[in-house]
Amino acid sequence: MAESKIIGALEMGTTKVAVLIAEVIDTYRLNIIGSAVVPSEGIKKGRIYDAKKANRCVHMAITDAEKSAGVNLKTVYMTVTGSDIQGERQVGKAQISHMAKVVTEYDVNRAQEEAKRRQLPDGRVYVQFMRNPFEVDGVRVDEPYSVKGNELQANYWAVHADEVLLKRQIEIVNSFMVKVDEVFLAGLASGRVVATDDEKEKGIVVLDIGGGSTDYAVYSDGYVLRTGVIDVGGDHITNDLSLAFRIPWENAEQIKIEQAKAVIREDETDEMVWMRGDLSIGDRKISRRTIQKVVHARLEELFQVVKHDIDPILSEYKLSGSVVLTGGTSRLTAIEALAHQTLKMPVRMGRNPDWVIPELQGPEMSSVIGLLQFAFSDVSGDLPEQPRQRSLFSRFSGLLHR
Amino acid sequence: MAVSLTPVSENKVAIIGLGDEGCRMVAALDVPQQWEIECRLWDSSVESLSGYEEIESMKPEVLGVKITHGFGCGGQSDLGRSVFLQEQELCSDLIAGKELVILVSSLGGGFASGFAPELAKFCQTRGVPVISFCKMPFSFQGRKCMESAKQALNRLRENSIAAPTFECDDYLPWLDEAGLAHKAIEQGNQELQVAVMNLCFLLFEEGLYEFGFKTLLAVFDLDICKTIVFSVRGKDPAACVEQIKERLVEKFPNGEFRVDRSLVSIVGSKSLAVDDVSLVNKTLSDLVGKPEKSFFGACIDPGREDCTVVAYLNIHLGRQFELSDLAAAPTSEKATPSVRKKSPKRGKSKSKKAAEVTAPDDSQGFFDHILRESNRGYFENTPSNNWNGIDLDVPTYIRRGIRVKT
Ligand SMILES: Nc1ncnc2c1ncn2[C@@H]1O[C@H](COP(=O)(O)OP(=O)(O)O)[C@@H](O)[C@H]1O
Ligand SMILES: [Mg+2]
Repeated sequence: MAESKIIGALEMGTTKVAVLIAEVIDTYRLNIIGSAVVPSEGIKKGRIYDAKKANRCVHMAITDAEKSAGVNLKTVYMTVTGSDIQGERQVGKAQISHMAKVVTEYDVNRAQEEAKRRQLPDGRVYVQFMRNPFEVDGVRVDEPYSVKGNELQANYWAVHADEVLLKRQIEIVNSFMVKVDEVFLAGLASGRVVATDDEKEKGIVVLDIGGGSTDYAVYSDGYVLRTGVIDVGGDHITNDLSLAFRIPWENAEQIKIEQAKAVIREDETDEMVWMRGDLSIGDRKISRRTIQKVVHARLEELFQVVKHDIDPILSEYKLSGSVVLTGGTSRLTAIEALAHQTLKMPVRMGRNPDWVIPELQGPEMSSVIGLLQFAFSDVSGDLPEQPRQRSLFSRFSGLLHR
Repeated sequence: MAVSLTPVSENKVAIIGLGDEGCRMVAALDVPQQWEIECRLWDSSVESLSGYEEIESMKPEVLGVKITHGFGCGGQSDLGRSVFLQEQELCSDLIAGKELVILVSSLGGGFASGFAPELAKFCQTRGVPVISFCKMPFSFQGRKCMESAKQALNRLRENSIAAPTFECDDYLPWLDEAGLAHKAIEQGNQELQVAVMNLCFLLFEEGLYEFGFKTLLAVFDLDICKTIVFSVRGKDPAACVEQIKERLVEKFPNGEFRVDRSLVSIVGSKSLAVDDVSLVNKTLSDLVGKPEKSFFGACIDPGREDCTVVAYLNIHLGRQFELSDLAAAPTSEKATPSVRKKSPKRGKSKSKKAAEVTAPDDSQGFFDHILRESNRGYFENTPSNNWNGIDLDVPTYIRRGIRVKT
């Protein structure tokens, strides 16, 4: 009989909580057997501000997914986002010890240990270590072994989070008797599905624009060079529209989804659009140009912030790759044109893998699907995309049973 | 035939110092060129204007010579009013093309008390909004003086969008050992100057101007409101907050007041963070209640070490305002606020600045700031979304001064 194992993926997004349950058969086949998407509550800008409400919707999502799968979840993988998650470059150096001055495993180990030795300030915990290319005497090398030189440098992109916030999120899941196997950066999870291996070699920026936050990840030569979270997303567009037109949130959201365009054509500037109001405000005509001004300003700024953050690494690695957009806000009309204008790179829209059923195909699902893929590779023993530190799990259990 | 026409000044705002003290206060202002502001010094006394010859740009001018022969109005506000009637031409020249007139005067004397309300009315009827900064006399200057000041103030209020007042009595703690008022007067003048400069700063550097005064009107839209202005200076925002508390307790010992609107402007050093702004905001709303509308301007001046907070609070009175509402209870020592002498340098043009997301740094050389209605909508009550000193939760179109027609 085939051996099967249940894995779960959970995303507590700012707009929706998504849970996927899948069956791994014979360690090589992945079947999604249950899913649930529930509107988020108590979460703003990737952060839980009302634990009670968040608790309720996470609970609902988990039980709904369990019902549809007909199994109980014991453990889940979970994405994390929010600007309290930060990354920094960590380096470790080792003098090359071999008589012939070629790099050996001994040197690699020493350099790597040194790089990971840095203690974080109180209240911060490591989430992920991403290995970056080694350097020998300041020259980047893909494979350090047997390279000749004097000094070996190990490089990492280390991501850490606020312990209290992370704990709060894990505790919510734990309170339903579901354990968190591992946490994974939302942006990297999306990157797993919307960017191809080839693109990750050549250089690509993955931008997951969600409701309350935007996650980015920069890949090149197969490495994750940078990740980051900006606490701006589609909610900000809605809020800006709601303040600009002094209309309720729901109307602003509707205008955004139905009418907003990131860039407009000349001949559209004079167009008026009807806003269907409720009884209190009635129907109203507003100009498309004004909507566009508000939306354009917000998105342009978002891309400028991203550009400001990633430019240093792009120029350091002389990257001339492309950008792929995903997340719910990437559905906004003409957003790729504006992204292209601002970021000055080729831009394409992300797509989820074909094996995913149509109901789960939207760009807002990329991160939870990517997370599931990661969980799959984790249990099936596939090498994960990036060499990672395997001690993370013990870290989180440690965090909770203190 | 050569016709020479004096070109109409292109400046949008005029600041007019009226009377002896009004001129003194305006003359000391260091208004940066790039702010489109024109300053004027007007008085009816030759003597008091005699010190200002070197400030040609402010065109010190003796008015009403035919009436007072350059000897001043001698405390008679009726004379001040007559002077106005004689000088209407000068006034209409001045306000041509102006979008805002700021009057600075010390009330209770003759010239300013008579002239300022007439001028305000003149501007207002021609569609030019007026903000009248007024200094009120010490109560020990006598009933007559105070009465005349109050009358002038009431008329100014009717004809201005705002009439922020500075009560000399508030500065009694600055009387020197010999009981001389000199320092207290100086202190009051300085606060008024800070307030004027700050308002101009908000106008020209923070985009209030671009809003076509809508924001300004929203702040100052006073019927039966009284605008209180004060500025405090401390080593950091926390120190300012302490002083704000003292000030408010001093002004309202019984704690009976309700703030309708507020406009708070903070100028701080490089370390000024959005959280500091929130701290000041919170302190104020803890003390005076959450205003129905509040506006914030915060900016970083990389050249300075300390912090200045200027608060305009509009108190809703619900009844006719009486000066006695403002109790003066002199207490402890205070740090001395002073006029910012260094004018902000702007390295980049406005439009460019608006188009770029800029991070404050040493080379910046111009102020980086945020103007926001403290209403962040959906994100109200969430931590500020600080990115290089900017609160990203505030709508971008507001921060970039993009006008939207709704
Ligand atoms: N057609 C659309 N046009 C513009 N924005 C959209 C559209 N559909 C969804 N959104 C926005 O996408 C955001 C949700 O994206 P999602 O990736 O689900 O967020 P999160 O992962 O943070 O929960 C919301 O702000 C929503 O308004
Ligand atoms: Mg998401």
